Amino acid sequence: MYQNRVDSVGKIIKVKNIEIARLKKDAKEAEEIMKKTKEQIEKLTNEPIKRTGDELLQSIKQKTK
Amino acid sequence: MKKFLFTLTLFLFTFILKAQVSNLPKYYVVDKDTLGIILTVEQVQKLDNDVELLELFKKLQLDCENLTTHYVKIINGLEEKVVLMEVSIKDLNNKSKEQDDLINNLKKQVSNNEKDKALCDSISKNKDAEITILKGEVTKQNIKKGASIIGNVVLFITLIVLIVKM
Repeated sequence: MYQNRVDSVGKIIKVKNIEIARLKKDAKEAEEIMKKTKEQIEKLTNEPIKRTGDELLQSIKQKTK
Repeated sequence: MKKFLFTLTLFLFTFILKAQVSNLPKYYVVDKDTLGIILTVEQVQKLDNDVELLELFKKLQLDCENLTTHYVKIINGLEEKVVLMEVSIKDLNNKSKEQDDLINNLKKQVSNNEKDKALCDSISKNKDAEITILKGEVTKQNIKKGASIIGNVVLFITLIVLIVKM
């Protein structure tokens, strides 16, 4: 009786492990995206964009829409 | 002299211009109506960059929330796994206990069987001794029976001889 239960629980644990592995993969991807965003922020902080001329005006127009 | 005046004028013009620029940002007022704000290119560039940064920070916030959701899901998954493992451990412990009980019962059975065997051996020995005694008794009885028959025959013959002689 107990062996059957242990076997069935073992099967559920295997499924759960696969699910956790998938979730970890998703989390890793989200971490990568966040890392890229942080790098972009760092880049903009260290080297600010200095648009000039029409590009600057267009950018401001776009941002103030 | 002309050159001096020109240089002086240029210097003053530059100074005034710089002073005006350093006063920026300023309201752009026409006929007492405030139409806007005048900024230097540098200030606009800073604002432009800051807006870019703000967008990125907003994205970062979303990324953080997204990541937190993922972590929460992982934690939930791991917690469910822990619960399942605890159930499994409990079942295995119960199974182990059941098997221990079974082993103890079997040990008791073996012990009882050993006792039974010793008892049977003892009974068997007693029976053997009894059989040996009874065999001796049978032999004695057979001897007695034989002697009785021989005695009776001898007595009968003796009686016949005595009768014949008389």
